[in-house]
Amino acid sequence: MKIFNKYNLDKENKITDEKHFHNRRKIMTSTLAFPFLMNSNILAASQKKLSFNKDLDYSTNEQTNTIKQITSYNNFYELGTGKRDPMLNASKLKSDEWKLTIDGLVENPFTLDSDDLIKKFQLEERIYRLRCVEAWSMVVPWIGFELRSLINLAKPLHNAKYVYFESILDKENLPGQKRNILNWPYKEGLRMDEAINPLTMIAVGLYGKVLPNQNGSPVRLIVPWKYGFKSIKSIVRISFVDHQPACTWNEQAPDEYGFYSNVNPYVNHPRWSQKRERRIGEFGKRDTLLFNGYSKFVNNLYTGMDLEKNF
Amino acid sequence: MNRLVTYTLSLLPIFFIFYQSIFNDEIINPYSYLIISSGYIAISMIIIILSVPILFSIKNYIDRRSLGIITFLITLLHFFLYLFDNDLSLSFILSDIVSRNYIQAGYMALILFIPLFITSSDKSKEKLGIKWLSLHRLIYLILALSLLHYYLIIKADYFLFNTYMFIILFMLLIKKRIYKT
Repeated sequence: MKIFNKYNLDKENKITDEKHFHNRRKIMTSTLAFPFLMNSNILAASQKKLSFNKDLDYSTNEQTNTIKQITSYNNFYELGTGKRDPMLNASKLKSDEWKLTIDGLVENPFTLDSDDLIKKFQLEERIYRLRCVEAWSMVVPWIGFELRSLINLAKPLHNAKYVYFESILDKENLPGQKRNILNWPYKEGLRMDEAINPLTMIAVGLYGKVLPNQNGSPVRLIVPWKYGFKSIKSIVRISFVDHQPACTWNEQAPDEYGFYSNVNPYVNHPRWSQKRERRIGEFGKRDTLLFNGYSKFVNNLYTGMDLEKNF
Repeated sequence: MNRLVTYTLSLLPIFFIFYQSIFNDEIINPYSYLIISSGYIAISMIIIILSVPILFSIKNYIDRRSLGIITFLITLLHFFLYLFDNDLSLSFILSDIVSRNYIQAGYMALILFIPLFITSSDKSKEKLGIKWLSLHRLIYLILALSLLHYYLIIKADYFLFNTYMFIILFMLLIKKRIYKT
């Protein structure tokens, strides 16, 4: 029966032997593996291929989710609140002619345009787990660079303690911003030591090509040990500040979405459990890992902190 | 005849969502799709049940009691999908009841629905007489609890909830006018 094929857990969970694993990687990186991209209009606007290295230090070996899963199941309220809305409304995000402003408490404020974003930095592919606060997860091959290389260019002043991120505000075109669902524009923030952690990444691509609009084109943040909503999409401004910046979901429901929002199975969302998660494509649920499995890279950021209070 | 029509029509949405979740590969998270859409269907069907008497054109083709039976079964399905989603773990389910308002509202709606389902036969209706009618007025409370259950889990977008409320208000206004004249 088809249902059993679709959810065949045994098959998916079996460990692939190394030879096949590398082989699979090779196949995946060639465009041949995605013939459906050719007749799909989802990615029509983002056919531009990127050149990049492959990261081996931080990437997971887990089976990546398909491009279809990654591009048609999104939370991007600017493009609508349904999971398919961002894909259906993708064309309403005007992501060409982009300008990203880096300012605030820095020696060297600057702006990056669309071209700079994919050329100024050495790009690499990183395969990260993404854990949504709604208790589902994916494995995604992002293309981008470490946020700290951008921070190094800006040269923050000694009193810059936090980094503030802001998304595009375009009430005329973005369907989600026509209603006050959230307090637009979308805002996020990181502590400076979180921002310069080597895991923290600025992504400009996905599966070898520039980011599709529904995934936060042309430039987004990736913080893999935090819930997905921290990884702000379609960024127009990165500001260095001396105080903890306001964050959109924290403003919306302060007792539900903390500033840190680290993935933590021991601290539940008030309205649902965070102990387990459904990996998209799998039928059953798996246990959620502390810091989304990135403990060894980020543990030291939170030593001595009460993670239940600083959720 | 009415019953047959009603059963067929009211089962269509359930067949539709199961078909979608199994065969439509555009549905990326089929399990969550099933839970969420069965909830929407149940609430919508309660609203339809309460609207049938004032929808003159379909009134004669719809058997409200059959509609109610199917709606109860869909609610039960919604509940079992939730149980299986949490691996039937008793400890989880108990802690969910204790700590979450929207879960409590959902349970109350489901529990109140049970006596209505049990007394849905002609026999019970005869036996209970006037009591049957007042018992089955519980459906208003069940609707209110279902809406509360839904309201309490909304993250930011109240559009659909407001739409439900708007439709209910509209129906109540029509009902008031009809019964006045």
